[in-house]
Amino acid sequence: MAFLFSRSSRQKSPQELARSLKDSLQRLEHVNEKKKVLEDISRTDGQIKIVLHGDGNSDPSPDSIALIAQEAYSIDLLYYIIHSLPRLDFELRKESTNIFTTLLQRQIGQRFPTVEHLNTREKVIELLVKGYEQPDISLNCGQMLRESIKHEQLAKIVLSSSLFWNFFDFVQLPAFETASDAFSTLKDLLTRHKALALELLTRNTEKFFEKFNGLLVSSNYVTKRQSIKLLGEILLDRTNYVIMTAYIDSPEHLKLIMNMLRDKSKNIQYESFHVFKVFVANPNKSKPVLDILVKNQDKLLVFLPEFHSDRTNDEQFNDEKQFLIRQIADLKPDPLRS
Amino acid sequence: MAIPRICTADQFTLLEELGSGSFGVVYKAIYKETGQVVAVKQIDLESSDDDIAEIQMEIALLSGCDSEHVTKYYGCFVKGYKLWIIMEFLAGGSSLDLLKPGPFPERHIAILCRELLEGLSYLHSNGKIHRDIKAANVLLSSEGDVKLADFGVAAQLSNNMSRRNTFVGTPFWMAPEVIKQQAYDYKADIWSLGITAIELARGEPPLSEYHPMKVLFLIPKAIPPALEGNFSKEFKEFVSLCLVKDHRRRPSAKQLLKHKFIRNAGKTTELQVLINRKEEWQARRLDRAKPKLYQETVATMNSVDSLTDPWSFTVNSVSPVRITETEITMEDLDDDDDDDSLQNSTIRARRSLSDLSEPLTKPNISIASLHNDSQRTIRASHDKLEQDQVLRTSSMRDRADRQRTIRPSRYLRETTQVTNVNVAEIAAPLKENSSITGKHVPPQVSPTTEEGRLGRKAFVDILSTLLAKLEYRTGQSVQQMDASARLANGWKTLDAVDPETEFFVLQTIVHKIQDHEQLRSVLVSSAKSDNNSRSISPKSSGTCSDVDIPSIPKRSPIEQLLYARWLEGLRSRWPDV
Repeated sequence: MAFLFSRSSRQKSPQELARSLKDSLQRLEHVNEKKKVLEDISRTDGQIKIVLHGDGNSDPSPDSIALIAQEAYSIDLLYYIIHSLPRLDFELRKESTNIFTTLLQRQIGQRFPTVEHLNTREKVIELLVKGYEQPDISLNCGQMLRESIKHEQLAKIVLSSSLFWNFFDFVQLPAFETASDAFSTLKDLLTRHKALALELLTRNTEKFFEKFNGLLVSSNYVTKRQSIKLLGEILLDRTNYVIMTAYIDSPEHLKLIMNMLRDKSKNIQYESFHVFKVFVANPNKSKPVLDILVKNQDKLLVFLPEFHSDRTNDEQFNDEKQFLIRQIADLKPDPLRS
Repeated sequence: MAIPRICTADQFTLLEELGSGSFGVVYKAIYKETGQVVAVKQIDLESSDDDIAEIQMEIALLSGCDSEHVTKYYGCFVKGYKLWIIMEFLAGGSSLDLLKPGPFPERHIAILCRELLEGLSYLHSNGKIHRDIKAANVLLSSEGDVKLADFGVAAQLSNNMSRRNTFVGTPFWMAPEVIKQQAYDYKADIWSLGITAIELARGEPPLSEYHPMKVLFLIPKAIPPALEGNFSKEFKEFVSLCLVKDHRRRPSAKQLLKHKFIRNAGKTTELQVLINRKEEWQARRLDRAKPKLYQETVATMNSVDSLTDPWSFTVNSVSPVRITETEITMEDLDDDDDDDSLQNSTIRARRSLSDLSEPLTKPNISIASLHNDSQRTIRASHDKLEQDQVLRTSSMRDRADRQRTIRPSRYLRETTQVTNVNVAEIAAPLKENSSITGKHVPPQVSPTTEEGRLGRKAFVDILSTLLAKLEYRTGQSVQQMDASARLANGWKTLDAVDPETEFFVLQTIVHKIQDHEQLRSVLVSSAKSDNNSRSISPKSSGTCSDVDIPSIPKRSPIEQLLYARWLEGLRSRWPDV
């Protein structure tokens, strides 16, 4: 007992703390008796937290933070922190998440040293993405991942690799908390760094919409509602103009959206309208799209005036609706045919 | 835990309804496999005002807690339009329910407060603020364990412990710094705990006789409420520590756990007395409501869809002539005088699509306006909701409604509605219909006599400023503020209707004081020595020496407060505007 006491009371240096945490996390993989190791980790986490956040009375020292961060980079501590998450208990996972995100936010002038470090360690980001596959750690990983992809360099790791496509599965997982967490990440990936997202969309237009249409026909109401809303946001973003024109040329997309206009959910109908309007407003409709609209002209002219007619306060919506009705009324079959 | 994180609806049998509110409905249910009793909270996402992202926040917060003092969360899933949240069932009910037979004895409140402080201490050390502590959100197990519930408006502070300034909570329990939208932190929960302690001791939170919207205006200005009545010195001191107005000087949960009132508190099992008391009370009541049983709602689909048959997507049959894509392109190019490449025509299309000043065929909306309207769409959908809110708040007198928690997405509407509807009514205490904002002062008559003219002059030159200052001074109790407001309103009414009597009253006061030896010596000389306070008039910006009063605001303070908050809400919602 005296031995333990003297050991834990001795002030470890920041570097020692980083190394000690890595040792304990590694040991966790091999020992059967985990209790003792978990206690060690908890103690070390507590000390690291004091270095990073101060002890409530005094502010943290930037020098100590620099020392602990430098050591963490050189011994690859962040990787071990993520790698060992499944073997930690509930509270320790939160501690790990806290240490990771605090280091991530570290900033010196315009530089984010941890981001630069992680940019060379793609494996860490990959582990975070794969974290969605494990319900126990999915929210911890989601939190760290979203914090990471705020930085363009790290978002690029996901967007430029096959990792990105996993999200179309994650957002359909049965556990709401995991699925909706993954959806926020997907949304951030597609809307936060516009140039990056456009690059992905341009390279994979067909694959992307094929996957995305899968979400639009999901049997899960939340998936459906969130994805139609996101689709509207992506298409109506000026940056994605080229993607939008490609999208609205396709009769298959139009069919899907027209069916969604008649979804049972009013929210889904409303969000679909904001995609549908782009098809109609397009002055250069592709022939198949024009054909579908002409074919359904009469039906649309019955349907649209009644569509969300109780939304009287929504001036913008009503203007747009009137515009669409006029556009559709003026539709003529392809002039080349007559 | 027997219940897996990933579960489905058919693993549960729903029993009776436990409660309902703006958030949805809570049912008692059984997990079939083990027979374990759980609570199922169902949120109707289709009709919910809240963004799904907000509900997701709540779940993330709840699932980030593992404490004996926080209701346990098992998992959640979507079924139809409803989100099912599976949680620990607490048979004792909420402490608001337990209050129905009457206030709690002090010894029980001490136990509850200790347990709540333990819960808050856990949340706060995890960087979470509950933001809606009140008796209704404190649940008890049948053994008397005390747990925090309803994380609907809770917040997660990020690592660097940045502060919050979102306007959420339930007015009676809200800390001054939250109402004033200053940066606040976990200390806001301590204030609410103090209010809850008073609620448990008296049956109602302080100021409950006022309209919740008026309370928003009163709390930041009034001196903090205190626990009065036959309670121990320790209890009163504990409450006053929770209700320190300056949150920096307000103690933390950890510090309060060391307070004598808390240290001497008994075991949680003693709280079973409260549960038994409630059961007996309920058994005595004849109008015992039958438990509402769960019934699967049949999805009621409005027949908005005026079409009965599906869209026709089989296009082939219509077009008599099939033209291939290349042919179209060729025709296109022939038609164009200036462009002769496909590349160019795309660019042209782009220009006409994105240029606001160049509308398409003959519309009043161009695609460009569709393009950047994602912001306006959000606003528009809010307008719709505002309207709903107006309709709903017309019946806002109901107690349950008065205790409604303000959520961030909701307050914008609520405040707009308030400014639109009737500020004067809201500003008045609920009991009477009298107004204190002066909105109900009758129209002014023009004085016809010399006395009347002098009375009006006295009012304009001296009294109106004085009255306004009385109304808007700070650091008073609510009762004091209310008294001043009533005097001001009464006097304004008198001046408007009967300036002659006004003059007569003033004249009599002055005469009587001059005749009164003692009063004259005090009042007349002190007034002379303080020239500033005598020269108060609308023109001079003199200040009263003992009262710190701003110049008369043009709007009523409530209007201003709400207007500012409304602007704030707009700004945070549409930062680019």
